[in-house]
Amino acid sequence: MLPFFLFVEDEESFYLWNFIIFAIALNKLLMKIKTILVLFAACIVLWTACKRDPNQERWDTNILAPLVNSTLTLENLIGDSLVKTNADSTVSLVYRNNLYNLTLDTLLHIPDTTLPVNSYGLSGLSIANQNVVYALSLGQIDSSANHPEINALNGWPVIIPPFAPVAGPTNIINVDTLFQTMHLIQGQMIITIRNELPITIDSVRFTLFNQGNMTDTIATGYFDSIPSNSQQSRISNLAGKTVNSHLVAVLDSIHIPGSYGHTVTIDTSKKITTTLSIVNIIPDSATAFFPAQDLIKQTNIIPFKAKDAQLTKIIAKEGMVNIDAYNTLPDTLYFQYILPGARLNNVIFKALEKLPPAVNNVASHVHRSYNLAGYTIDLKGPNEDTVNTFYFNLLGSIQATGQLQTLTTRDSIRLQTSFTGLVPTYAKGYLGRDTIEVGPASIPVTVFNRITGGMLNVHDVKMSISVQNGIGADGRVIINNIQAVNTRTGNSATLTTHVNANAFDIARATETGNQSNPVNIGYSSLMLDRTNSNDTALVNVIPNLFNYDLKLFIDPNGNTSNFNDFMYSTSTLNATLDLEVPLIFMSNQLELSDTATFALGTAANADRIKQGTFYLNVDNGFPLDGVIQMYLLNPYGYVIDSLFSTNNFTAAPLGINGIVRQQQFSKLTIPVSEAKMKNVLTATKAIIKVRFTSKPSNQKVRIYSDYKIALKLVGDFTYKVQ
Amino acid sequence: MFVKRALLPTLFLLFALGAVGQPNGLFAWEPVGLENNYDTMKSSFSINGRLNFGSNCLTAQFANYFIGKMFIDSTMKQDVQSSLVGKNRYGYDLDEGITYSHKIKSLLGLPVSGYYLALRNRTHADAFFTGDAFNLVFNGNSMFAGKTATLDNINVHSMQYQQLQFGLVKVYPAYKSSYTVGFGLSLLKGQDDLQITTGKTGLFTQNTGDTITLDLSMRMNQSDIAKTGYSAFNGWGLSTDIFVEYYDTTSEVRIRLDVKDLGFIMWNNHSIQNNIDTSFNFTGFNVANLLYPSDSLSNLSLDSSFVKTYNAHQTKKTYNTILPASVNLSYRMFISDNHQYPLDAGINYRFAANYNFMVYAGISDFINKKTIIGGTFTYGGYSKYGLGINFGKDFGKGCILAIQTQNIESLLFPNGATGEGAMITFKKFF
Repeated sequence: MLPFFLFVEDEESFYLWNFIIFAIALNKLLMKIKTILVLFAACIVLWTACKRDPNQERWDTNILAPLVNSTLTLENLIGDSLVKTNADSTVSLVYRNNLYNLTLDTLLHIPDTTLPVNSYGLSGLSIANQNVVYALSLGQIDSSANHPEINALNGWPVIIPPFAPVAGPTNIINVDTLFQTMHLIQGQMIITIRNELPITIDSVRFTLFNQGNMTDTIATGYFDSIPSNSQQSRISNLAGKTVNSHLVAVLDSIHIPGSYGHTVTIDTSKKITTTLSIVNIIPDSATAFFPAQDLIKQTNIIPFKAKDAQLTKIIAKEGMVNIDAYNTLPDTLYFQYILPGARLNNVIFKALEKLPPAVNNVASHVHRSYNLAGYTIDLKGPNEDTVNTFYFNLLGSIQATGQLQTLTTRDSIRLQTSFTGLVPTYAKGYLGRDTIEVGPASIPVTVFNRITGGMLNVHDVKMSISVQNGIGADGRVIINNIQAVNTRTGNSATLTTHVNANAFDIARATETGNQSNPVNIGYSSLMLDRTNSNDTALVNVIPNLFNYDLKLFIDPNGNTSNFNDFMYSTSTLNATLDLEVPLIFMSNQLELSDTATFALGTAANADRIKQGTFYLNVDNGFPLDGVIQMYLLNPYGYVIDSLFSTNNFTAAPLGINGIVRQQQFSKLTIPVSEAKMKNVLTATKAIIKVRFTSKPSNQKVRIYSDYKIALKLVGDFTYKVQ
Repeated sequence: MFVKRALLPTLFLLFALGAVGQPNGLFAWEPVGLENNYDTMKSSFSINGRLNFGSNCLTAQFANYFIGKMFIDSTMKQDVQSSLVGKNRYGYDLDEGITYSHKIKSLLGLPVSGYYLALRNRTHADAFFTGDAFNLVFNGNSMFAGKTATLDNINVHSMQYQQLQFGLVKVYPAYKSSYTVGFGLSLLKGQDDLQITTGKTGLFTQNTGDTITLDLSMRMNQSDIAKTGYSAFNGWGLSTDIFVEYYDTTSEVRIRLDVKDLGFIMWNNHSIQNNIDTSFNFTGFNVANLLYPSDSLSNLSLDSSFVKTYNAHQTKKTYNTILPASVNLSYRMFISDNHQYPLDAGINYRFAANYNFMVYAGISDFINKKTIIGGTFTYGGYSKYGLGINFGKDFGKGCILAIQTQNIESLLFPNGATGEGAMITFKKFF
């Protein structure tokens, strides 16, 4: 007990412990000194306060104090975004609402374009030129011609007699390290015979045929005379021939006329050398060790249609090119897919892919998709003479593998290519003649949102339909109908005008050449005022809605720009309805109403206000009589109370030139009983209604930007101290 | 004879130690006769507590409701208003403590008669204020419409500290009498302190309520507000208690002079000092758009010029507080030969505490050897007058309980009496 007694934290606890200690003593002494102790205990009990609610009300005070100062300007009353101050300090209400936005993706759509599967055959097979050399020495000739003395006189100067025609030896030529067989579309055999003998040879006949079939002559050659130490060639066409890897070459006959009585030195090592060259070989099929070579080289165009547009260039914001390739070759096919018209950073789009060999005559397949975002794509075709055309080059090749492969010119690569999801961020060409229906539709009129009743008579309204054209194409707008509607009163007014049969042309945008700001917007508008329309009548219905029905034409005169229309995705064609209402008006009980959040109950210490009377001192700088009331709404949206008992404030008088020179003071009263105060604290929203009547009532008043209402809230109230 | 001669100093000492064991107060009744029952015991331990409130205008009921944090109605305020004068004051003390005392002939070579050790929690508040200040706080400014509420020379002081005291007592026997001298030295731990003093100050309320103007000349000292409660060590200090007593053994008349709480507390350099001499003109909170009250009210704050002005004068620095020292001269005699009815009388004063001289007198009755009851009358101090009753009981085995109320009239006439006080002491001799 002691520590608690000594170190209690607050006064109440101290009293309590006092009481406890005393009660213990009291219990023991009660019998003897009842009267005194009971009296003392009563004293302590009175003193000893039980634990109190810290928020308990302690006492009331009566406060008379200014609470809030505020100044209401026209912006506060109507909305600052709607007020425009003119050069002469008069004020206009301005309103702008968008009627239509034309964007690139609305105007232009590039459809997905697919080129059906195409088969691309081998443009040709190439096999390297082949050379075979074999020699026939003088000694061999002598032996064949039964002149053994020649050999015996080797090294001696002799006169060589004429020989009877002799047949040369048969030579087997084996080129199976190059190919096994091939059927030639094109090819030539060049037979070159060099005569190193000291004498002329005549009537030399040469024959080449596939081994095993002596009748299958591939090439023949005949040489009349080949002088000593000279050579001659004969060309034989191999087109249509089938050449095997094992060939037989025969010098069918050689006539040696002798040295014609001249002494020549015998050298039996001297030879007749025959060179067979197979050149310019183009087989249509071959089983060979093929060297690296291009087999396919194709260019293909893919036209597309985009409504009426004829485009010469786009820059893709997004989009893909897709390839499905099938290879029937028994060899790996390397192919390049090239879009020569598509460039990114001046680099042509090129895809390199490898198609595996076909297996068991089943073609291999590869699918690839490539992103074209950012690519500038020329759509004029390979010859730059058309529009709306993609094109690509396909290049197929094989590499030397050292493997024996059989290829024919009937082998192919099949390819399907498509362009999908192509969305341009820029397009150039002729955008096409188009008609766009704008409406029938409605737009809200917010400028009079807070006006919920009464009469308004305005003056000299300016209405316009403005078009900001960010598209490099001409346009035209036709107004079918514009109608102002006040849905609260049911009043409406329809625009009538005689300007150009309700139509006006839209100037096209131009390109600046500056990438950061590439477009010079084209501005056009149709201005309506009281001289050419009844637009003031539209405003006097205090509309909260405009109904409209317009037609928008793009390139109404066709391709006048010679394919120089353009459009960026960042620039649009905007059509807006603009309204400018000079605040020169007569009003009668024109009611402005607004619902605002009202959470005074959450304000610090507001709940301590018990009751009282509050005064709203109004210094009115507008030439408008006013009646104000604030209705309190509970969280369920029901009106539970109103504030003002005296709620009229007087218009400021007009001075020279119809300008207010002096504010008019009025004092409004807000009696707040305890019951009303509870409602004030309970309320979560408040409807504020102010009715304005212009003064003098028989003339229109002009509102200036410096007009304002100064408000001061003074409270004379009972405040609970806690 | 020897016994009697030895007994007398012992009795004197007992009185003296009994007195120092009392809570420091303006006037503390002591059941001395009961303590004579244990004059042979060398030591005692006591627990005591005292609450005292007094004012020349605030009624007891008002004070009780204020301290008890109950609702103060207009009748209570009117009771106070009817008592308001030009110079209004109140004082408040709340003390609790424990004391150990021991009789000993010498301490560290010093010839003494005893020593004591005490630990106390001390709370004191006093104020001087104008009637307008009371009305402004408790009735608001509405009654001052078109007038200025005078707030000149208001003085408010509130402090709480803890006290550790060590004291020595020496009895000097004389012929048929004795003199007793006591000296106590205290080490003080400052918990919190607030001093506000105004100069020429007034609050003007415009008749229409459009403007409120406060001409303020004020000096404020406040201890570190970041640290509060018993653990807060916001300052330290020293104080002394001294008493001298004469006792006539023949007539048993006793005359005593006490000087208590002579000292100071030095508050640390986190303390706040604010000297303002300026004028505030309040015309309401500025809100951007009254048509949207929630948006506006959520951003309400006193205009920065007020706050800046207030804060501009605020500094953090150390300062000293002089304790409200007291002087008490008391006299005791018996009005009957059998020493059954002791009469106590005295006069006291507190310095620097908005205090008036207080005189008091009381008479008691030893109903028997173990029970005493009495009554007192006081005049002055913080309150106007006081009637008190006292009760003391010896429960045997060295246990004595003493209870005193200084303002029994506050129970009988709470809306008229302007002071109340109570004291309780439990003492154990061993």
